[in-house]
Amino acid sequence: MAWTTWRSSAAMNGSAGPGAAVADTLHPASARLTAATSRRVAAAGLVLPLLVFLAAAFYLPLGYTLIQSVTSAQGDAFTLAQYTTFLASRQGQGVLALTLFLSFAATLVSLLLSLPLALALRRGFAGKGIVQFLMMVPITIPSLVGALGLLILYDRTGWLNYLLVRTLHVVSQPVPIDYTIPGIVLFYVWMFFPYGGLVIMSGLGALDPALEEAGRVLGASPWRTFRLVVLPLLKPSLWAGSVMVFLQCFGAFSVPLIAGGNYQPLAVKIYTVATVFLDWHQASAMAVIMGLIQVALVVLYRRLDRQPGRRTA
Amino acid sequence: MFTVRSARGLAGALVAGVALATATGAAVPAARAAETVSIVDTVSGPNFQAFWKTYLIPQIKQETGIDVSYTVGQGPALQLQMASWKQDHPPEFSLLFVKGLDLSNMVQAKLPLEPLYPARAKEIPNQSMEPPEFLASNNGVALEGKGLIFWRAQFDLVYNAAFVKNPPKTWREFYDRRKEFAGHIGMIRPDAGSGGGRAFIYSFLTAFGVDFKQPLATLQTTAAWKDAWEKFGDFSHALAQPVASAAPVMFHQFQTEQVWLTVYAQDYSLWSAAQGQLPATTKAAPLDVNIVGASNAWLVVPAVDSPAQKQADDKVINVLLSPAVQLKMLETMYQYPGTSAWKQAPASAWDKIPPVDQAESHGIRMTNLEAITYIQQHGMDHVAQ
Amino acid sequence: MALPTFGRRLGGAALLAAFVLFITLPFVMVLLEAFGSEWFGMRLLPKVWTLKWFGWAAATVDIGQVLINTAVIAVLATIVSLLLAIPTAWAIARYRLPLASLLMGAILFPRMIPEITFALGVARLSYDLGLSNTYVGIALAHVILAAPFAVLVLTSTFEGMDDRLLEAGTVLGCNTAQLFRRVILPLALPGIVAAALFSFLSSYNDFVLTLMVYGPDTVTLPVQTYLSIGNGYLSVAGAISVILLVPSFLFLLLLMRMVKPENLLGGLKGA
Repeated sequence: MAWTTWRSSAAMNGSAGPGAAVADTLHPASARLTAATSRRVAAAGLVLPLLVFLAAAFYLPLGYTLIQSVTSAQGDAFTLAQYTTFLASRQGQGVLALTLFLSFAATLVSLLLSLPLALALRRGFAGKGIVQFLMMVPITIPSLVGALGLLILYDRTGWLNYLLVRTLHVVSQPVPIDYTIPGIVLFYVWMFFPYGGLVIMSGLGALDPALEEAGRVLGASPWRTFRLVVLPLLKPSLWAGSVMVFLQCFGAFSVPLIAGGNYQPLAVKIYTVATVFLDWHQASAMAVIMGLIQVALVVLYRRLDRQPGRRTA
Repeated sequence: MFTVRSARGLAGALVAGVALATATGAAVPAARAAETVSIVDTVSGPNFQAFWKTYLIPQIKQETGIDVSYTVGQGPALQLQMASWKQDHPPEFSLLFVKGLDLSNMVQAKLPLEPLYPARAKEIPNQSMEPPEFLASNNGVALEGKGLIFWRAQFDLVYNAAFVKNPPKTWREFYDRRKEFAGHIGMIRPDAGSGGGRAFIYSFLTAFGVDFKQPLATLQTTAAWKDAWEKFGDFSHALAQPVASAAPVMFHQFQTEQVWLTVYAQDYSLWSAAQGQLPATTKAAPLDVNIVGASNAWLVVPAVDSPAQKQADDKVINVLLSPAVQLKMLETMYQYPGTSAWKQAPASAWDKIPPVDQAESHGIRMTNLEAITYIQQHGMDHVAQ
Repeated sequence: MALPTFGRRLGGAALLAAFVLFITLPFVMVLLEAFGSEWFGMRLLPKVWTLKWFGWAAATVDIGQVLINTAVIAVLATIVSLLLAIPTAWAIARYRLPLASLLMGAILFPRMIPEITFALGVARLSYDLGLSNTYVGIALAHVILAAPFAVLVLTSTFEGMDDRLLEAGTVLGCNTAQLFRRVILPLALPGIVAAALFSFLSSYNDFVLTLMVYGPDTVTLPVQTYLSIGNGYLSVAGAISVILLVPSFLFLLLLMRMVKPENLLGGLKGA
């Protein structure tokens, strides 16, 4: 990124560089503080409002959940049993594996769908507005209603199988989609790909066409231009879009509840333990595990994305 | 260029939005007249939601002058909210309409509920028409009189007569004929929110000799327990797969004719068939053991309501338990009244559904809470996958 | 690839058609359930067409009130989320913050665990502060879920901004306000709109957390729709969805038209 190149050059020069000038005009700092400290103070000031809000509105309630996760219904003052029983059990591991698999698979497919779609929508064509609008449909329908719609459409007796069996005669028996793993992935993609798609479209929209033009003028094929110019510039949007889709998939509840059959990923299991078994301690522990896994994955993903030696624009 | 202009437009709209929202948001809802009852309904499907709005609430207004504000809600969420309720801080809802299992859980969790039976017999005279044995305890939890039953329901064999010409009359017959129905027997998972699957299994086990009056620890050592679960394991090979994870899934399976027989609430099923939500050939019939009381709907008053509010709640409950209202519910919704008002029903009321005493004659109540918990947590382990 | 243009156009049209069908058919199922009776998805079209589910929906739901509640709350939540998210995302994107990845993780954490697991604390807070059943209270609860996504989108937006333009602005003599208005805002606008959209949707779609803090005057679209499904009555829920979705789509269309589709997709030339 341009940011890192001239920031590092600025650091080498020992001066704060233009970036600091920008920062300082936005957030005037005392002349007595060094540029670095003033940047840190500014940064803290910018981040504080949200953090304070989350601390009060979310982390405080979460504290109660954390306490519940390490105490038990039997009255233990502190125990990690709820964590260990879940993580050590075959059932628990199976649930985690299932959730991870579904989320990765659906995120990948969503990206493969969103990126070409976003690219195709750049060149003006008649259906652009419609397509953009339609992408709103899965995310504005209440998810339980959408899940039931999906269940009906892809059932043995639904429209798709009617088409395959009775109209096209492609297969002789209905294809099972409901309640199967590929089916769940398909449904996740339907529900969640617009999250990634809209972020990528927004990122594409901010690209300076001059850069691509330059690539073409210099003789690069469209594919090379895409790979070496567009894709690197799109990295932040691709990252944000895929994280968003992944989080939605990992936490999906309505779709797997209705159309998952015997496959019950983590959110469904936690809901069952909490509201049917009324074991809030176990549910809290499972929720903490769920959150920590995703944090680890997001942090890892961000680290991978920030590797040094990455091409900068 | 127009980016900035559009930004201005956007900003303008947002500012207008803030102003509007702050004006409406900052204004706390105006203090209601004392004679208002705010009810939260965590039981009714859309059929009863319509019944509340089009009949019950106007009826209450007519008879008492009380305005009832009606809101739909969800049991587990309501229970969580109730944990914070304090005296002198009126909650949003002054009258609760909840499912039996939720009430049992609330009482067990010692949430602030007002004893109504018989403590408020004077204010709610119609409660005398309620069956005392139902009010004393539910799911094995002593209720301390903290609820009154609005409607009764029971689980029966619900079947599609187009495919099942001769339904089984007993569980043993059902078990013996299971291959006949293989793949077409619907059940909701016992670990689901809906209790249909638990009722299914509880009645099956009872029919095969499990005596749920004994504590779970004792039961688990008996031969009957082991044998009954083994038979259930056999039986489960005939269940439609996947076993429904939620009630809407089983309904979908029933609607698409994958499922021909299941155990579910009789009233709901028959009424749904009449409305076109289930196949028109849907019928219900009791087996030799069927669960009663599991699907009852209860009226509950928060103890933190002010005394004046409680008096208003009492009046509303009394109207809801009045014979006229109870009979109307029977006749238009196929729903069994919570009170003995059904005895006054005309013969025509029993055209579609069996009289209450007949329906409940085979009925047992799910009183062993430990066993229910066991079925919840381990029922699926016994199901053949 | 040297496909003849006609072939490419046909292929493109076919893909487009497939995409449109993929997206809309599940909703078509909902429509057919809402307008039909005894259909169950079993045959192509319902045997019996009816408006009675809409009649039920009208009888059980105060449509206007639910729409107003949902919209006001969502707008409030969006505004607060953006106000909190913009400076946060700016700091993460433009400053080398220590533990930035962990910070991002901590901000996204509310979206990583089921709402029901921290809902109890939120319910208690809301009740104690007297925020239950108020637009502000529910909107603030929604901000917990909306702000993280806004930060995510805006961080990527600010990271993707070309600093040379900022440099150029400063070098050419812009002060802070001018820099913001003439350079940063236009550059970031697609991202801000996307962040606003996701914040709006987070609030608009929320069910579990809303159930913790709502009351008779603040029933929202998801609450009303989900709780009309009962044991499986998709028909009435479908009818409610159709009724409530039409204004929602109109609002979204308006939002997108207001900031011209080209801005969402097009370049930033001409700023």
